Amino acid sequence: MDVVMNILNFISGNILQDPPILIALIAMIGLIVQKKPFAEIIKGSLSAAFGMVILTAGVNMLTAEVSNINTAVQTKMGVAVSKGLSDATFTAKFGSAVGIAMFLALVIHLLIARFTPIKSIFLTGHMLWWVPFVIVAGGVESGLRGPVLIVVSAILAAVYFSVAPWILRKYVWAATGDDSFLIGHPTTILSLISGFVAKYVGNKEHSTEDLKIPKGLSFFSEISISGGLVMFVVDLIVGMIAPTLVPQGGNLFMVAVTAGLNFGGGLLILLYGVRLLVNQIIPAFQGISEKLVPGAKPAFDIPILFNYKPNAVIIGFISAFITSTILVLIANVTNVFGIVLVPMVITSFFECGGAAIIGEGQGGVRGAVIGTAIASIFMIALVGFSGALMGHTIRNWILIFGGNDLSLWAIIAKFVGALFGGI
Amino acid sequence: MKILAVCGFGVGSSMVLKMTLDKVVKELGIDATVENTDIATAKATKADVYFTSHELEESLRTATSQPIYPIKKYMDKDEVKAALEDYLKQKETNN
Repeated sequence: MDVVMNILNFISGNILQDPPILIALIAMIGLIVQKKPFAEIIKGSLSAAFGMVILTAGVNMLTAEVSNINTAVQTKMGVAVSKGLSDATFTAKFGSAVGIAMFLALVIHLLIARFTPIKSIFLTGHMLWWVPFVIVAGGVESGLRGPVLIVVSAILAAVYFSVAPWILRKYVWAATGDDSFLIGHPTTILSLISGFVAKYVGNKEHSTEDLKIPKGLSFFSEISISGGLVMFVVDLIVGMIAPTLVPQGGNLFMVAVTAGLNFGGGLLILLYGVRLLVNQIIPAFQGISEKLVPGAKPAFDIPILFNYKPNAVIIGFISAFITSTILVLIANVTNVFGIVLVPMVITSFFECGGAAIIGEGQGGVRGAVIGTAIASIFMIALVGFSGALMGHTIRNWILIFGGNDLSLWAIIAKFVGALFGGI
Repeated sequence: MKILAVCGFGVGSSMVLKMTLDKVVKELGIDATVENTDIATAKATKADVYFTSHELEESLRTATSQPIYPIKKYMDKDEVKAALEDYLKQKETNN
């Protein structure tokens, strides 16, 4: 008996505490279910684990840059820099809870598709990890721990995986003229706002795709380049206001250059990790779901929409980035959220690019521009509130990747968790 | 034969395109491997034929002399099938 107990303890204490190994196990189960050859099972499971390791390294590079800015500004303002749980320690401590919640959420999500009218299958690989990640963080902030934390998080994540793509379906189908797939991406809340506004203010007569967009603007669609440039400028400005950003004997220009390069490089690493992970997990999950729920609609990542209206994406990015950066400046000067926000490159590009396509589908050029601008006001409100609430867990992460469903569901998780307070 | 599905980031749409291509390859009963990747990697990757979006076609054209087929609807098996059949026909005439 002792041997069995020891093995179980080792599994729960070590194996399940390690996200890359967990992800590898999930990929392995998927590949075994599909009766793949042995060599492919080994290759696929290991690639999924490498993907998770690489993705985490990319995220760490990105959050380190934002964390430097925040520390410098907090020091300048005389705010005590928060110690204790932070982005890095959160994953170390609660990564296993996220992994197990993810696995349970996938099972519940498939059951929802099988037994309810909501027939969506969520196939955006990296979001299968990030959604439970923010929900667990919200739960931890509310004081939940242990099995209750995992079960509550799994249920919330499953509801998200099923309901979000389904709510957005009519807008997506209007934009693509194709009802064969859904969108499973944290743009949902922003796209709903954009589509709703665009319908009232827009005019479908004028399409974004009839416009001639100058070729010179196309480098904006290289997210690593626009992200790196923005970070360089942000560091220059922050360094002038908060001199502690520059270490003793260094100079601001070089600090800013390094920060920009690290941010752009971190983004490329993140994308590479996502690719490795997604290409292993998704075909497996799709294979399982096709057997269980024939005829369900797959929900894909947002770039699949970008092919339909490439001009709308660039217009939406510019509209959202300008609107939201002005709001970031106002929020930081007035200190309305009590935290320092940074301009939101990634969310402006992916989430608001998607929101622009939905806006264009409802109201042409004007719909895309105004709808996305209004959505980006909500983006800043969401990132500000969620960032303020997540001070002990994933604040720096939220400041980069939030302002969307991820922020919204972190907030929802915190409030739902509070209902279970004291269990 | 090696088929490459290409999109901007190599994570979302190229994977969908790969899944559709896999189904078509199976239907036509041809011996081919299908891989998917991002545009930057694709430019440095050799393949017999490339499938991508209309916006990336030009960019890919600068890196390879092999045939490139732009696809509008990645989920549309008929569109992908027509393109792949066209490629196979071209190959026949060239040999």
